[in-house]
Amino acid sequence: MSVTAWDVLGLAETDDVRSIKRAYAKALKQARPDEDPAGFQQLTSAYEWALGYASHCAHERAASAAESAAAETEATASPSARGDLQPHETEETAIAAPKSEAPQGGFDFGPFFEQMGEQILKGNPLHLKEWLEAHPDMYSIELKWALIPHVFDALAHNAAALDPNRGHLATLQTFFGVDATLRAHPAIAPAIDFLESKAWKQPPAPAPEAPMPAGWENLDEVMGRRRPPPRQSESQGIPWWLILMGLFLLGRIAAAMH
Amino acid sequence: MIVGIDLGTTHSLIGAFLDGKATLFPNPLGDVLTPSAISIDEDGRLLVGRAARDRLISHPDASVASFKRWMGSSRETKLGGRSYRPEDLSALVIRSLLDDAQAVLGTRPTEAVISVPAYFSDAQRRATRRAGELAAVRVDRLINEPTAAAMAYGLGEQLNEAYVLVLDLGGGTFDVSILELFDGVVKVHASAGDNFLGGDDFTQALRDHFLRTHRIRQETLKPAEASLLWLRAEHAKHALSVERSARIQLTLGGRDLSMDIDEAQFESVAAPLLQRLRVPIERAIRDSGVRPANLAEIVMVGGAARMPQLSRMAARLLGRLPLRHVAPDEAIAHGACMAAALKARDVALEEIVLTDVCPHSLGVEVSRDLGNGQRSDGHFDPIIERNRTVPVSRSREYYPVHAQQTKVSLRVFQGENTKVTDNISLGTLEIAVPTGATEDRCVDVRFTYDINGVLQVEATVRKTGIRHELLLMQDDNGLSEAEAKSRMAELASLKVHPRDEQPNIAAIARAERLYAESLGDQRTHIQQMLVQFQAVLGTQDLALVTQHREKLLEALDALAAGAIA
Repeated sequence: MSVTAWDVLGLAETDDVRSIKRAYAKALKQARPDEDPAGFQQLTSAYEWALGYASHCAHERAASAAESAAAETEATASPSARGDLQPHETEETAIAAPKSEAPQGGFDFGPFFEQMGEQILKGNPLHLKEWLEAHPDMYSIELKWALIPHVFDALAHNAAALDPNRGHLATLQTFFGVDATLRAHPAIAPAIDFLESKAWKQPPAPAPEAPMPAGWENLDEVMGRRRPPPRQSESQGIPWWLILMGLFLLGRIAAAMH
Repeated sequence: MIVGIDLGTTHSLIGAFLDGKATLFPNPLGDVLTPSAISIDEDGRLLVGRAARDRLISHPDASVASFKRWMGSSRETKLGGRSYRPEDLSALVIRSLLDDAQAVLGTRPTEAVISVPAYFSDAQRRATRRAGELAAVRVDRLINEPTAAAMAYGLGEQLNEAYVLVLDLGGGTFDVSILELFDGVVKVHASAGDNFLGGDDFTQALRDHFLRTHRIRQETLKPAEASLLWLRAEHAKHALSVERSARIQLTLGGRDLSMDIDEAQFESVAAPLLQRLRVPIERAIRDSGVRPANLAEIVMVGGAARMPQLSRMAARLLGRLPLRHVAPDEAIAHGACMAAALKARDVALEEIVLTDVCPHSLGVEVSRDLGNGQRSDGHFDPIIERNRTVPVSRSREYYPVHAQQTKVSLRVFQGENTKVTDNISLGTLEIAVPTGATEDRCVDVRFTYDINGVLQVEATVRKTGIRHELLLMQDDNGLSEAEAKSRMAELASLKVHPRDEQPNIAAIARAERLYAESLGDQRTHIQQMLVQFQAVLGTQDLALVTQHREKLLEALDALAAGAIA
């Protein structure tokens, strides 16, 4: 029989974050990272799993209370399936519950993207860089992250008209902080793959490996498309709440555009 | 006794946790801040601290500072006919700090916890440890600077159930960390940073602006002129932290030059640097998953955190105020003392547990299948993602690319870029793989990263069970033990002035610096004061010397104030 996270924490199953933290803090004094590395890792895995479970519960409660459609985008695996701790397997961090609250009111993606397009049409990526760095709305960390999938998606959609070059793509990836992990994320990987392939330049337009959707209404499809990642579940370390926050924001943008 | 050391780009401090609290030890001049500067005088004696910093102006060829920026590189500095690596220079600073500790404690400390920028790479951490060893002190543990500052601040303020964001802008590095404090646990959630962005870069931007304005090329300046311009730029930068404008004024190549700069101009001159502050703040917030609105405190530490531009940028990004400044120069040293006490299991900190993260991603190079038989090489595949709590152990499985392949080269990298060429190579492991069915050819790769920053790479061929192991981030600078010993002996052979004479040496260095910076009558005046002081020193009357030294320093202060105003 395997040991559960609750056994490790010395706690009965609960979704009370405070109790979980208290139990972790208490157990930690017997399994310090410098003195008992193995015990510490097991305890910390159990703690992270328990916190994920608690936020999953909280999210479900909120979802059912609001009867919101957000429940459908619930991407967390069934917690009971992962209740058993198996420390020698590839560990996976519990997924934090998405926070679907809109970050900022009043941001309009349409004009933003239009102006971004003007900068790209100027050719030199430096114009785009300076414009992005000076853009007041981009100082909001939350808005900036929420925009990532939409920026690349809209750019892929308008690639033939804007003809972004490698420098533009590098500038955008640097500015929006697209690193090794985020680059492989299914919400943006198809768009960047398409942009890097420059497929719109080939006249007979052979169907690209990841064809872009016809319009905003197909965004769910883009988000839903999962390119199999190299050899492991892709959920490690992805800021899910940001991606989901982006989805929510896009819903608002789509509504505004109609 | 384990001491805590903050080995900074600009200043260094030492202290210990005594009677339940962090206590910093003063240097022979009575200051807890010792400038991280080294100079060799005419007799071949070593000067560390303020005297050495003053000698950057009067004796630029025999003095050096800001060498923390070169840690982890093999850059050599020539001083007094000898060549020094960055860790040698740091070792000399540590040695001087240990002298200060010994003067207070009565015994020489044998072990130290040294603080390093959270975003320091492993080569830089290794160099820091080596600096400790060269100074004959054991360094088993390094602590990340923002973690140290947050621990000192959070525990001092008795914060509980609180998220704290620390912005640490030092002389040469910028770190951002997000920590949570609850029930005696100090848990770092994320750290990000820029190892080459600090107060010095803003000074340099001002200096370059001055040179551009007057159409002067940096290479045409004499060493003393370059040092002087640097100090003037630094002074202007400090002035701009509290005033609306500042003036840089000095004589270069016989020309009297001056430049006025106001806040807005400074911001435009420093714009590229200010933009670089955004990256680590955004990354730390994103990695921690903590929303800015849920931060209980935003704490600013490091000397350069005094720049209002940093507060403004942080307030703009995080959408909130206030930002809290805590003894910006001492917070990290206090935290290093606490970390030393934690390591020594001091009873006062019995209930405290500190957990930190590895701020860099660690992984291997892979080849990706693009479909239709095409492959693309050189991709970075992280095994331990950045900002995992350490110690941590993770594994992934890999397969040989080609059916006929009998060997795979596992190349290990650190970094965040999608292509391995943009990341830092840590080493390679060659593994023999069997031929046959795909599942038989699987190699399990496990990365284990401990709290001291040592990465262990284990690769096991699943079918044969053969294990390969690679230990990284240990001392592999190419120095053999014998070479290290002789290096240590060489550094130890550098003579220093007796402790009670050091205030006099520092006073003379100060006077010589002012002499180099001034002209005409003032020079004659300083020269007279120096001659008088030398005469008093000759009497060896301690009370008289002390009295004269104080008068000399007062006079020099007055002169300096007049010269700069």
